[in-house]
Amino acid sequence: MRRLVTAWTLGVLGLLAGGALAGFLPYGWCPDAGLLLVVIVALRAPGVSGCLAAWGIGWVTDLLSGAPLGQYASLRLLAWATTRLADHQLNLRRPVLQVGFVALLTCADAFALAGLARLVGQPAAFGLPLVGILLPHALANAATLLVVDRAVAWSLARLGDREGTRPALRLPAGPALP
Amino acid sequence: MRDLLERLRVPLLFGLLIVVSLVALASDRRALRDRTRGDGWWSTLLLEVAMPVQKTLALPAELVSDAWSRYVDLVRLRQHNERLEARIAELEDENLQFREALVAGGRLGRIVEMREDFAAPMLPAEVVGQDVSPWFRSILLDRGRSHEVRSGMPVVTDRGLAGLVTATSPHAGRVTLLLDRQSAVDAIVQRSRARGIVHGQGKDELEFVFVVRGDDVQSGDVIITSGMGGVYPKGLRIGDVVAVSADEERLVHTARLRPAVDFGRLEQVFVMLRRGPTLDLLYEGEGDEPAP
Repeated sequence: MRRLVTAWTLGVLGLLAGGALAGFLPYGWCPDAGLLLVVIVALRAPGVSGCLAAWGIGWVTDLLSGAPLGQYASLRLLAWATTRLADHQLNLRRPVLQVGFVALLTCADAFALAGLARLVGQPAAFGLPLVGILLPHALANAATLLVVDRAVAWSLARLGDREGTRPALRLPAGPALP
Repeated sequence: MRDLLERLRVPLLFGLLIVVSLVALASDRRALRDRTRGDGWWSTLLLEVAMPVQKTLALPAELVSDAWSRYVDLVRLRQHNERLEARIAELEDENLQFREALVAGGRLGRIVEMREDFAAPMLPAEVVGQDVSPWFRSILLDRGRSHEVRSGMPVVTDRGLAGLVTATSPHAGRVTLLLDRQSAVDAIVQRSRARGIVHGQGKDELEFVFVVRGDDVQSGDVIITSGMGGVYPKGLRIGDVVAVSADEERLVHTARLRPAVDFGRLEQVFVMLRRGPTLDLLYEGEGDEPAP
């Protein structure tokens, strides 16, 4: 519960900071703090608390943005699940892989958002306009992931969550039981 | 069953939350379309909390952005200032040139008058050097034999007589100034026509030696060339009498003259392209061709 609240609080603060920063950066160059935190939560808190935290961050994003309620909640849950899956398959503990994954996830997230918007009859950008914003956005997210990750680890350590400061431990599969 | 639920709790929770989210999305879209959507208390509360927090978080970024803008403005201001300073220097230079042209124009006007008076062509020349020895008073001109300048030609300025060309090379000429101790000019007092000789003293004053015929030389009198001897044309201004010696017992008196030409500021002079017959004879034998 403590980790959930911490992750969610950090998510809210990250979103607010992102909103504050967006006014000073060129359009598209502001990192998506919500998405980054969901990825970090997925890597550090793989269980129920992480899933709930991602969902909560999505809801706050919905409320703070002009999106219909539930849109970002669904997308953040999907991002969390994708990260969990990628971590399981690719072992995302290496920073280079994390950065590359976040860039790809940002693109996938944008296309998923557009697809979901189409699904519920909302106008959404596709094609060149989307790419024009997406590329700098993906770069900004990739460039800030490690910084945000360190900030989250530092915050969790200050709050006494020793477990959360380390990425989720993956045990190698042993030989088949007889 | 309990173990299965324990193992599947995360996927189940994930599915449940996805369904809730999609239902919320669908209902919210419908509410938006039917314009029945209201702002819930949670949304209002979040926005109320978000506003001051976001404002506070934006403050450092705003400060940084403001400081950066000021820095950029300062850099631009500096560049603008540099451009303006360069422009001022350019305009000052231009202004100086205009002033010089104005002064030169005034000089030229007076020289034209002199040229008409003396019926002699005037060759402008720049003073490019002074005498290297402190015991002689001469200047070096940038005009020489290739410009028809010959030894024995008078050198004047718009103020009056400056000296005499005493040596030439193809592209340079040396002028012995009136101030030189070797210089001697036959002169008269313009007012009384009293005659005498003006000698250089090696300093910034001249000496006028004359024969006393009553009280006909006074302080303030203008001394001009007499035209005698054929070296200088008649009527060139030499200087003004500053003081007259008061020794009545002597036949020959002297007067101190202030030269008409400011020799300390000589920049441009005019060589009168004429040489008297006496000097023609004098210089002909020394390899200096006669004047045309």
